[in-house]
Amino acid sequence: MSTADAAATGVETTAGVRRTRIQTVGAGAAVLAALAVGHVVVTAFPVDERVQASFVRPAAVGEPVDLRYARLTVGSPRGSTVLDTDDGSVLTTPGVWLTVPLTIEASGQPRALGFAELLGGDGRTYRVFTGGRSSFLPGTAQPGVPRYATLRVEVPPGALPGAHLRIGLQPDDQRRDDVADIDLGLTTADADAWATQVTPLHAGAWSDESPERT
Amino acid sequence: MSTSTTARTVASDDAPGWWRRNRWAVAALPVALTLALVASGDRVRTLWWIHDLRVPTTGQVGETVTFRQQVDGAVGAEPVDVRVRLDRVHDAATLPDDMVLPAGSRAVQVDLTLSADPDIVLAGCSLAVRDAAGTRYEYVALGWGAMQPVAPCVPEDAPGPMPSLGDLDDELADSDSPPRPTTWEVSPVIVVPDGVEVADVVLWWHMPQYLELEAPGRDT
Amino acid sequence: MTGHRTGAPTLARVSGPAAPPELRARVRASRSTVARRVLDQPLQRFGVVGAVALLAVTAAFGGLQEQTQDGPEELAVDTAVDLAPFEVTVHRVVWTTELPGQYLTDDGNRWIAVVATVRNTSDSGVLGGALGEALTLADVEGLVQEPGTLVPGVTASSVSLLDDGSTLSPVQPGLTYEAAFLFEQDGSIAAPTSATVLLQEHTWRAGSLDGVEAWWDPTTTLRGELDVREAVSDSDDGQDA
Repeated sequence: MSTADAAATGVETTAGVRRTRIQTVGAGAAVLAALAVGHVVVTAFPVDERVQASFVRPAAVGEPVDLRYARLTVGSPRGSTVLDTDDGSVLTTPGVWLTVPLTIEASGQPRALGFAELLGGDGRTYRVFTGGRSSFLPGTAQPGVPRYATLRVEVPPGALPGAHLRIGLQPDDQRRDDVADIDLGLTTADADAWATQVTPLHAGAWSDESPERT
Repeated sequence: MSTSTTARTVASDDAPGWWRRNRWAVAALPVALTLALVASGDRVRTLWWIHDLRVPTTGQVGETVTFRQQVDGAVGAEPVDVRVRLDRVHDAATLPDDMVLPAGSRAVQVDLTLSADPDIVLAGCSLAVRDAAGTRYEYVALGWGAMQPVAPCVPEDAPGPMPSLGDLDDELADSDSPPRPTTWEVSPVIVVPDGVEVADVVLWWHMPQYLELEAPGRDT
Repeated sequence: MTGHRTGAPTLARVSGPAAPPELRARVRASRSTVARRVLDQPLQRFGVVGAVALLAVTAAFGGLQEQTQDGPEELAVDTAVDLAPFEVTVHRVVWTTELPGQYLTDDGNRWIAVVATVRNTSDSGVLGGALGEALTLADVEGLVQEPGTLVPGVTASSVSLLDDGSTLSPVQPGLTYEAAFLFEQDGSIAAPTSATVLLQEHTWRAGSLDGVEAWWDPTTTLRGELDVREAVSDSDDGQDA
């Protein structure tokens, strides 16, 4: 029994030494392989943007679009080279002024839409903030009480045909939330007509009174 | 030959199975997984959960509810400790000065009786009514042409202490305003769409805790 | 189970030569001096050499950041210059005591206006703050605004469009704006005859704190000393209400 034991221990011991070195090399190789596979998995498939992407809700002018936080209806866009802001100042532009009336019905709780931008037909993004020359300030809308606000943005005439308007809730971050994408249905004819128009457009402040449609 | 057989026999007798060797680790695995998920989900709480009304203190019709909340102000603790009773929710008989109701909406007046120590900071409150579906219609001080008090839960002429702003407190202190009474009534007006039945009234100072008061049946 | 044999190499002996004895014996037999010297190094040195090699390798994957050129170039008037995200053409520097639509902090003060043509050459509208950092004024005494810490010189108190007097913000791409960068100067000091105009360009990158991509790092790329004269009335830096 003792001989068998000694022999058994001997086999074990020698095999143990070899296994230790093989195990070390194998473990190291496995770690490197895991890192390489992990790197490939993370970089090979560009899912980051898709996972975080906004939920784009397409719509057309005049048809309401339901977002998580509000129901939005976009009215007919108008354009000119002169804009009357209804607070005493008249703005000119090297391009064309575009005004778009919007009707906002908040849902669930009061909402203040803070994000707007125009994706021009020329591929550029014309940003609209809550103040400044190109601005959109609807304020906080009470649920069920429609809010009427006008967006104004200055763009080169070439950006108008095929332009899309995007409206969202958070000004800084629209990831993983609904964003309305409205095809304004503008053509080159519209752009040409407005680029020579000098009758001032009116873009007043927000209101809960339905605006007079002229 | 016999050596290798013995070796193999020794190996299979001495070494316990994988499951037996790792039984504690396997048992701890679901616990560790849950803890990891909870720990990595802390932003669900800080970035989403605490930014809405989540923790109610409810009151039945006609009940006086005590609402307490520990709040840390700019300088020290500014706890909220107040007793509130919802008296009536009804259509406002007279609109606030200069208020113009948009088409399709009506003005709802909420009558509340509150009582608190005069040195409790209550001026930073928000008020809303909710319908059965849970939609929240908030009180707006400057809206629809009217100028109602900024804080709907304290008397307009004696709002009591304001939340501390640290060094600016001495400059901003209004020494003329009288101390707030221990019990007072307020009647803020909220604009809601037609056809909305008020199910409850909610009052809050700092989310996520809030006070929920069941509204009595509609009276005209 | 059974421990390691005492003769086998272990990580415990890091201060000794890195290679196991058999490998060293083979290298000695091969009579290669380089191989022998390399294998005689202690393991620590491999750590240092390895770290340096790793850093050098990261350079291939963007680990090194480009450094912009040394000093700012000379600014020439009426020449368009690229100041990412803008293209700016400085025309003249004038001063005036009255500008409709603009309010001085003190009645005796005056406005120093740098008249320039501004275009946004990027693909997206930019807020006016970046434009304010793009052009600054220096070497003028008595400017009301204090020099900032982010950009050299003094930033304009506002950038106004010549045509309608409104503040130029946001600056949309594809449009050519005629603007005036306005700096207020203390009236008790004589009007300047010359001023240094500094032009800064920005870099589009992710912010180090939040990863948000924006125009950062304004860096002076041009400077010029320009004459300053009094604005001629009815010239195009007066703004009609």
